[in-house]
Amino acid sequence: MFFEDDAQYGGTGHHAREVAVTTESFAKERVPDNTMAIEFENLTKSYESGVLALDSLTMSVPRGEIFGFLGPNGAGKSTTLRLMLDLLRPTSGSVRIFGIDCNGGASAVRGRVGYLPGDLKVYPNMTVRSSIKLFSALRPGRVSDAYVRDLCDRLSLDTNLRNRELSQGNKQKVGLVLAVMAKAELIILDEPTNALDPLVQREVLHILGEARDQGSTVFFSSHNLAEVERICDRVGMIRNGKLIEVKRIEDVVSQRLTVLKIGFSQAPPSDSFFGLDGVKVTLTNDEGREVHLSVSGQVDAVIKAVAQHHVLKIEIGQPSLEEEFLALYERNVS
Amino acid sequence: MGDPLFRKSMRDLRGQIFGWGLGMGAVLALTVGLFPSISDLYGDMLSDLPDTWAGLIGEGDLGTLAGYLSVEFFSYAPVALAVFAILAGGGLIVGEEVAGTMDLLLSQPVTRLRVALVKLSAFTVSLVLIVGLIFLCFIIAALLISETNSMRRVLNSLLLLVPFELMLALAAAMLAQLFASRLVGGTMLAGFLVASYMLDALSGMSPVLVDMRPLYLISYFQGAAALNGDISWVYLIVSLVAVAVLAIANVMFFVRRDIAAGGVLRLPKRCWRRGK
Repeated sequence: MFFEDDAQYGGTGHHAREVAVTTESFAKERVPDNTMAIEFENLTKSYESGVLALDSLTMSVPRGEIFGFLGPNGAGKSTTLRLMLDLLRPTSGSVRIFGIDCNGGASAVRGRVGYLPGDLKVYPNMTVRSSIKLFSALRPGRVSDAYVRDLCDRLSLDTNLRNRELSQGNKQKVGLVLAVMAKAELIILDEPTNALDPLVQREVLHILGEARDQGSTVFFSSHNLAEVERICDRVGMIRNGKLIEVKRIEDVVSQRLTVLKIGFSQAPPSDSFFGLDGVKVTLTNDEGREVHLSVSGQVDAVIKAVAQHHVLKIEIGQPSLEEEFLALYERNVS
Repeated sequence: MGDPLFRKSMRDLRGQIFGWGLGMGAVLALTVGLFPSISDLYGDMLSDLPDTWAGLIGEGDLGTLAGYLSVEFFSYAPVALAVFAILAGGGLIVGEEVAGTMDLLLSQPVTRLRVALVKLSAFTVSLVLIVGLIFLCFIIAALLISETNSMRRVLNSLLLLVPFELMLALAAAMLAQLFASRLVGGTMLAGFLVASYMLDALSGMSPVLVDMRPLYLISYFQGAAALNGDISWVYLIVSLVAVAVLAIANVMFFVRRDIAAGGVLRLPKRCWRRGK
């Protein structure tokens, strides 16, 4: 058994077998109710320095959803997550998880939550195995030995290594195992695929999808729109501490910007692309023979307009997250 | 003992327990071992010194093992062990925040109160174990020189190290939280301790310095006095009250404030807003 050969931090293999059964029962017995998984109400956090890290965040996340919390670095994502875990205290407003105020019932909330911190640090002198064992012992009856082993296998995590010997990617895997191993009702992850290679990233997204299928709610922050698109049901976008928009992922995809870089043999007339819905000329070079367009939503009309001219080359790309946010911001302002 | 956090804390402290316990125990054993050969010579030398100079060395009847140890070991033992108390105490609460592991720990279903109490308890137990190891070394050395009369008095003196070092550790923990820096808090406390040690040693030379004894941290260690049978209960009670007040203040502050993130201990000044 996973826990049998290290008796420092808790139960025996027999105990682990017992908790495996208990955890399966726990997942099946989870009774859905009408309470939202997460409710933010005017949640605000400011620091003495005058920095407003989070400004009146109000939104809710229903149970069983994978919610992506998207924003550039420094937007307030980690602050929001730390407020949910009661690691930070709000300046005003509140956040409730399963109807429980995080500031008042932090321990009760955390019993139902798995969390991966953004800047993950694990005890350097412990092995991966003893770390898992320590944190399992803090959630008695909640962690399945078999599930932990399965997670470690799927993430190719060697549990015999000491934490201080781990690469950043392997530390992230340890954090992921610790966050999801209890099959918590709510899994909160701060940039979960950081430092992971693409294959492991894909596996992590599978694991989160499975958690949702078993009834868990997943709330994770990211600055990678493509990653969010692959797995989320809805996405909230935050910038400079302010929530810009909450959307279903289909709407995000349909309105997503596409960047076209087109080279013409002769410069097209300057008004060729004016009047097309959602199209913006961002740059013209080489005496008008190279044109950069940013297109929101469908590209059909612009491709047809481009096809009126002799095209030498065309590059299609995705804008940076910051450009996406600026576009969203401009749309919201207008 | 069954609490996994307590076991983890004890495991983290075990190197220091054995290092300090056996290290100081070895020094005490060596001091005891030298007693038969050095005590008469030392006594004659002290009797030739003026009273004020003899006061610098310490008070005690050097003809007895208890008196000899009050001068030769217990005059500096609390200051030496204070290095452990201040270093470990400074990291008691904020250590995990500096290391960046507190977020992971507090994301588990444990209250901050439990985390703080477990850490304080583990530190207290580690102090008792260090004292136990020192006493064990003393017993071995005392048996070797067949000096078993002072056992109880030495044990009492060693046990009086516990509240004194605990007071220093909790003060270091509190300063580390208030100044958001283990270094600043520890340096301030160590400076104050060394200054009071020096002034206390010089107090035999000036009545003014004697009157200022309540201000000296070292006065609150009554172990050396206990060996000579003239313990001041006021100092002892004050140190016990200080331990209780500092423990409560540390826990209250930790429970109510924001947790520092990213290995940078940056505590907001007004982090007392509310908390459970």
